[in-house]
Amino acid sequence: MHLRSSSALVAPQATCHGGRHSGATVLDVGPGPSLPRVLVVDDEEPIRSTLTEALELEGYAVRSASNGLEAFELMRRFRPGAIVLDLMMPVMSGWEFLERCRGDHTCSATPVLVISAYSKLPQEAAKLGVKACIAKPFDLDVLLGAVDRIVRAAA
Amino acid sequence: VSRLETTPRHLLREHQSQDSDLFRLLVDQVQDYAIFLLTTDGHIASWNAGAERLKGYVASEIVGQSFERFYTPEDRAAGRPQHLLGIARTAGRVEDEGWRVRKDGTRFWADVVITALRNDSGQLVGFAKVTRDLSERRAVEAQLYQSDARFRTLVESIKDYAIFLLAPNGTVLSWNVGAARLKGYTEAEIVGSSFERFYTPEDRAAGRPARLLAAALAEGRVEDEGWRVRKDGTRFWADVVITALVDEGGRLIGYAKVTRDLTERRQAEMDRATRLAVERAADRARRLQLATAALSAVSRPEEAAEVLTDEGLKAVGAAAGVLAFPTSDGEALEVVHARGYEPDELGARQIFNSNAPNPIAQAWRTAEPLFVPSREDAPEVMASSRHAAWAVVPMLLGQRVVGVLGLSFDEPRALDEEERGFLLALCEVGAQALDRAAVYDAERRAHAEAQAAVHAQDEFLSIASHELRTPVAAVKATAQLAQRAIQRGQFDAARTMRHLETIARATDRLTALVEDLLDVSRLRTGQLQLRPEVLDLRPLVEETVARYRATEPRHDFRLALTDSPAIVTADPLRVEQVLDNMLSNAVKYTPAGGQIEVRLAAESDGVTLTVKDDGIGLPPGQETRIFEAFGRAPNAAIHQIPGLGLGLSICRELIESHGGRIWASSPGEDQGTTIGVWLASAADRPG
Repeated sequence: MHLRSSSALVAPQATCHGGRHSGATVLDVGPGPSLPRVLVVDDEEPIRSTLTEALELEGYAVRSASNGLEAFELMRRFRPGAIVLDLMMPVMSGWEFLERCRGDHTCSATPVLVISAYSKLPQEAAKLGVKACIAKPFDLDVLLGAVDRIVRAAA
Repeated sequence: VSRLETTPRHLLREHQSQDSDLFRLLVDQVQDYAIFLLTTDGHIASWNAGAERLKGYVASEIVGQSFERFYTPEDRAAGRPQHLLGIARTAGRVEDEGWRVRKDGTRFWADVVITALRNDSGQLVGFAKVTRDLSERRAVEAQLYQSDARFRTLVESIKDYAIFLLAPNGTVLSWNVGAARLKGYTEAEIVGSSFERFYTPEDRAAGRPARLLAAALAEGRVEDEGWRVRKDGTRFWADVVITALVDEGGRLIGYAKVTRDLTERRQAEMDRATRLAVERAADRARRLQLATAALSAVSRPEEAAEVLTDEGLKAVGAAAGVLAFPTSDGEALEVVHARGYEPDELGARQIFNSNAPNPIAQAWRTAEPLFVPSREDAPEVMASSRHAAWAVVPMLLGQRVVGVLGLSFDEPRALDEEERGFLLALCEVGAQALDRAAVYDAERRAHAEAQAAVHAQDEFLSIASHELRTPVAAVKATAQLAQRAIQRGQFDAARTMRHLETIARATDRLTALVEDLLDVSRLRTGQLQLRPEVLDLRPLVEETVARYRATEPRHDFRLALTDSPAIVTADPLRVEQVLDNMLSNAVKYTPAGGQIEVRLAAESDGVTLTVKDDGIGLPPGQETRIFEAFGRAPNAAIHQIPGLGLGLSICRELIESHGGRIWASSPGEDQGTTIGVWLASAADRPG
């Protein structure tokens, strides 16, 4: 049930323009100025690696971080067009990361998609001030669709 | 007096013997006394100068006349002159004092001695009469008499006091207006009666009248206050002073008794006392009301204890106060509130048992109020206290003592009825308040516990769902990724293998979580089966650490193994589970990576295994909490470190069911944690 309801958590402003990047281009091309960049932040290694691979298949340039602090340090160097962010992480949580980004002009404009197994995520979503929230375990298609919408809307 | 008595006889003898003119001359010349002879029938036979001077007659005109002419007409009419001669004739001598008449008719106060004169054969031959003018003395006496009369008048006219004289045996000798008014008797009715009739039958039976006279005699004076009886039988409250009257030789001649009616004053005093009592009762009621109001506002027994102690203290002006409750097992008393005691004397949380030799314990034992006005009244009970007096009141709910209020005084102190009544009433109200507060307290606690339980369950479900969703998310995402790759014709065996491995690992983690939950359930219901065997822990520790080294590259595992075998009797799977838990915790709670030190030491009686990390540490006081089910240190949540809070509680159950111990220590937050396990050596374990 949560799987389906998670798509409803996508914020209204995250409009979908449909269409996907072709997979063929993604495999050959590393992070470059022409590719939309996505930062994946999650303390769970399997989630990190799976999301990185899936997004790369969709044609994004991807970097990953295992907590908020690593992610914040990557922000300036990588300058992602969107962030996929877990909430409950050691060292620096997703909440703290969002807090810090709000006070930083280089980060504050970057759209964020939150993914979390936090049981109170539906109640929390509105307070986070992010483009979309998706509960774990998520449907990969839904997640990739949401990332696509966010990236396009920001472009 | 002796001169007057003897001289005439001597002179007469001279006269009779007719042989001494010298003596006759002497007699004749005596100026101060009239000395003359009377015939047996009272005619004047001789005269001297004193007689002439005193009475105004010359010898020629008086000799041969009757001596009766010297007497007043009243005396003569009364036959006094002959009466006196008669006495002198039979008794040999008579002395008289009275008015006599001079030749010129004036009177003088005379002292007269008439002596019978007999010849050798005893025949009466005449009388010698010696008269002395006592007028001067009489004038002084008259004055005295007048003042005495004035005094008498004074005494007699006093209406407010009964003033009267008593004979040594208590017979009433005199009476005054005040006495008549006060006691209702006329002088005629009472003079000659015993003063005992003024006393109540009870006093008479108790010998009070005689006792008072004896006291007056012994002390010179006695004062008494009490009921006296009037003639009509009514009583009045009297203030009595009895003074013993003694003559110059110290002989008791009687008593003066002054009685005052204090009935009105007593009534006034009683009215005042009543008014005071009413005022005090009103004050007591007000204080009780205030105390009750204060008590109704408290919701915890400790607050009630404070109110009760302070109100009790104020009401009787005690130096210190204490309130103790029975402990939950009812075996001892615990001081809940103490005010005014030295720190080493009595203080909150102090506990003493029921047979302690102190007033509080005694009142608790007997369930009776205990008032000790001074140390001497109960030396044993007071031995442990430095105070001079105690008032202790138990608070009773039915037969049950729910608290004991003790008040101590610096000075000996006997509480009056009023004060005792107040304390008893206060403690009655107090018992109700304590009961109510205890119910509130229990309700609040139960409510808090219920809330905590709900919260803990909520928390557990939240954590458990998060913990379970995370590997499920990995399984699902990886499976979908593999699907997409295949759908897009990008199938690659190596990639697929990697996906499948990820799925398998996530599944293992899910299994482990479910196992943890089941272990908790099994441990709680006693269904966990141990399969102990004798084993050396060294290879087990080595292998487990090696596994961690391989999978946790961010952590530096240091291993210190004992050289001697570490032989224990234990279920190897469970010991491995414990070590695995210790190591995974060390990794988890050192999120930024760090050094993890594993040490296995073998001592004579047992084996100690410790895992020390340099991670987030423990806040003070969390060393035992982390071994409780779902118990996690607060800093774990702060650092967003996932976990169910079950691992260490499972470890503790497992180690304790092996007869071992497990503990945690940390110098503080961010200073690392050490978890230690001790298991008995196999040799030491019988069987």
